[in-house]
Amino acid sequence: MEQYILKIKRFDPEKDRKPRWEKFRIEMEFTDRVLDGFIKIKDAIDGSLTFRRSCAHGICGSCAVKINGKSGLACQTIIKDVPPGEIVIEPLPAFPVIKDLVVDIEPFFGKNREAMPYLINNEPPPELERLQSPEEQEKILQSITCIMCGCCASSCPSYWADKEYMGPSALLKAYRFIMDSRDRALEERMNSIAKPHGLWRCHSIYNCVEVCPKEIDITSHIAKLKRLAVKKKLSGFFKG
Amino acid sequence: MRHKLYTGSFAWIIQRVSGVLLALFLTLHLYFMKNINGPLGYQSIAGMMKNPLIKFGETILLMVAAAHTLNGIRIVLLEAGAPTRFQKPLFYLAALGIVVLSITGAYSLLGGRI
Repeated sequence: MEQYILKIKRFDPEKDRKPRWEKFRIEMEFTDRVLDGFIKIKDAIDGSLTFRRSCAHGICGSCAVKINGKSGLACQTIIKDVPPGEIVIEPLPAFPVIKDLVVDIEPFFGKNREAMPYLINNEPPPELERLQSPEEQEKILQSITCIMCGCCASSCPSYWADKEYMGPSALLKAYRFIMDSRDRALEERMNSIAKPHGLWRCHSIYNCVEVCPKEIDITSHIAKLKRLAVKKKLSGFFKG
Repeated sequence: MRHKLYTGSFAWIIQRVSGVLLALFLTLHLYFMKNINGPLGYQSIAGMMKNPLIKFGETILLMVAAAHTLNGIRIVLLEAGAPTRFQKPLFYLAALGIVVLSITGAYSLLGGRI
């Protein structure tokens, strides 16, 4: 067991006018995760520390916070992997803070809904299921692993600057259905993303790729959508 | 700073700043070009270009244009389908190109010859 200092940005809307920093000294194993630190603090030092956690195994995406300046999952960040000394914890940037490390994720989910995150296919369903070949599945394999934790959007400079920007996660969601061989709403989906606050706000900064806890190559997925949008526009132009 | 910066973030900031500077330059450039009146006006502008301060400005302009061009080519390649694993090497390559162009350009613009 070793001593670690967790410096946490706290905010209680009932007491504080603005966020304040608080340091907690706790004993942890180097194999512990940052989330274990939160739980220890809540159990033994300050029960009022507020954070989200659910599965604690990198699947639900609830515990995304900013750790040492980088968005990431607290349950997936091992203490030995962060530089020694103070570990600085903040709520996700660009999302409104509700209390301590809990942010309002609703605007982010709203943008995901804008991308119509459901299969659209009006053809009568086959007897068993809509089949997909392994090759067709390969195309969307990376994009379906998104857990919607919000790390990508909160680390994206375009997302900070443009409140209406759909963000990397919603665009990835759009990709997931546009490239799905079973989906039939290509036109509708392209119209919902090929707009100024959609696809064209991505400036290929790659911050989303740097932070994604599922290691999804988000920027290249968005680039594929950009190429598809240009291709569609050009083919329409030549057809008159 | 809201978030840790990575290679791509620096490339983007360089592209933004150089883009704004180039837009300012183009405005000035077009303004002066439009207001040249005959050979005499041309002579006076050509004389002004010999001013060391202007020469220095031209060197800065070259650096900014080199940065915007090479960084721009990087982004075009990446958005045209170059794999993400090349994004950092491409930035370093662009940075090297910017340094080489800046040094050789500064040397020839500020009096030396290559």
